[in-house]
Amino acid sequence: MRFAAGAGILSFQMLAYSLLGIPWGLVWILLPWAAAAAGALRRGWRPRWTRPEPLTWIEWAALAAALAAPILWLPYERVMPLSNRGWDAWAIWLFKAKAFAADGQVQSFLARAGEFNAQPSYPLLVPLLAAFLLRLTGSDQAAKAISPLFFFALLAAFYGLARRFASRPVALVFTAMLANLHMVNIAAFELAGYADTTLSVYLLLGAGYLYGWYRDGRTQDAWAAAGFAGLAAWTKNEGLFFFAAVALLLLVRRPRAWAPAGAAAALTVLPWIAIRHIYELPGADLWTGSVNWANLWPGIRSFAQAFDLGRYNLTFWLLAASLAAYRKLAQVRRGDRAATAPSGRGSVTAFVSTSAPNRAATKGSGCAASDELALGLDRAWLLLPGLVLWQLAGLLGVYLGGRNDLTWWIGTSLDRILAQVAPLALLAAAVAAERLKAPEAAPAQATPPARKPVRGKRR
Amino acid sequence: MTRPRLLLAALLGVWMFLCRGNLEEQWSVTAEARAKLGKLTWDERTAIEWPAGFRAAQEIARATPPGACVEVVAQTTPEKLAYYRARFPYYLYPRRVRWAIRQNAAMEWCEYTAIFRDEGASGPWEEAHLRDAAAQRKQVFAGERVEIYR
Repeated sequence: MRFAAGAGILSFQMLAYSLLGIPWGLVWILLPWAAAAAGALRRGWRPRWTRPEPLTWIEWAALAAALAAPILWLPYERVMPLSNRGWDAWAIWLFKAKAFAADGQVQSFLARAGEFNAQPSYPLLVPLLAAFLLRLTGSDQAAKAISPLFFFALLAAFYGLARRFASRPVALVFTAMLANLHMVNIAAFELAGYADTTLSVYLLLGAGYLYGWYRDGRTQDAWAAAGFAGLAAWTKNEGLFFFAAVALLLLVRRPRAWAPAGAAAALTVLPWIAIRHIYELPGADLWTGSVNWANLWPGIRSFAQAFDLGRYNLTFWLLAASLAAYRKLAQVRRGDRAATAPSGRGSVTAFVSTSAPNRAATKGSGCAASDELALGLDRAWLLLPGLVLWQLAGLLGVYLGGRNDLTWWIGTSLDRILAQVAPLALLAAAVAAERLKAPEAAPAQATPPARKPVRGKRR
Repeated sequence: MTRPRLLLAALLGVWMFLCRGNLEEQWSVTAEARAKLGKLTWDERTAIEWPAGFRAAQEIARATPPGACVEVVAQTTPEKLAYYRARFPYYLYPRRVRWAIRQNAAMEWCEYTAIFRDEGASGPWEEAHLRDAAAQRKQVFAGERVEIYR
């Protein structure tokens, strides 16, 4: 998570330096990071290391399984040059990176962007990070490593979130499943240099923290959700659609959450919109302005690809099964007192307003201390599959109003969009799977300790 | 050994069973790629993937200054031309690259003109017209598939 946040910050640092005329020398770039690290060390920060509980046999098995695909894929990615299969890498993402690195700033390329078939309106997180790697090493191969790096960040982020919402065996097993998810492997290693793996990290973190906020009510989760959703918007246009959903869900639940949503929009979304406007960057021009309903059924039917076992294994089957079993899983296990699942009345309202104990806890310490939430599947869980469906609905919208031939478009986009949301789908399934376990194995932080109010502003 | 753990183990087992085909295939693909490319330089690896185009881009990059405008007259198929139009800028940036689809429109736009005869190229090609146009300019590079005029 720190890697993902740091990568986003570094990309904005590069952009800010460029706009302010500060050279992209490595010393200048690394100086603030070194100063921040020195400051943290001076304040007494030390890496936290607690000896983990011994692993059980299933956890050892999951760890071993998690290594299988990366061990096979990583040497392949490292030995391959930018190949014919990596069109978007050298035509769009790494091309911009190479141009930025050569110029030492972004303005020269943006001023000439109309010359190139390089989608100038696409956001710049990946090109700026890759430009940093290029200047650091001078090697295309180093820039291409951005995808494997984010793949490992994806596994770490997934495990961190899954561990928060589920027990260690569940978190490890589902992380191992993600590590061996074929289409995610392809996006990270075969299509190295694309932005899809990077985006999937930010989608996962944005959705995971949003769920954490709905579930536990901790203010910092709202900020993290908004921040990572903003970085998703700064990575790819699909992320902009995701950011809209996260901002809306923050504001719907609590209008006072405008602060994280507004700050994320101001820091991550608006600057790029302004730059696009200033440089008059041509958009992708995908939208025809009218809806072609003839594409509706073929577009929906294409989503059946998600259930292809070869590419996505059981990911979307598990998500569908979790949704189908939602009511059953939402039953409070402790006794037979109540169910947290929304009844037939006003399911949508119930979904956004979250459960009463959670809200009460939120008003108090900022943390939910509800063991009902620990034991039953809370209704906020619906956010996770909901955001998966939201992203797919966005894609369907593009198919309906798109300029391109539908068959070609599905062939070139759908598998990567599904790979972007597959980790999120697996996280939803992991949380649901936790509910199948015996109540004695509670999630790591389902009942966090009460925290001290921060600067007396705890709501 | 509790029932939930057995269920988890079963889930992981089924998952790994379903992906075993992909892993086996990747095992052989990785081994093949390492055997084929492992001892080559990056340029040699790229040239294997993209023989004529990569060498042409390298030759143009060597023969022209970074700030130049290069008009590329390509004798190739329309499909390959679309590919080259996207890929040449990666290797030639910050040069300005313009493409002439018909050779009779060539040598009008840029300081440099590169004539690129792709391997396996076919279709109409007015060699005489091209020679006439080239005769009015100075040749700065001549290779197997690329000639560059200024």
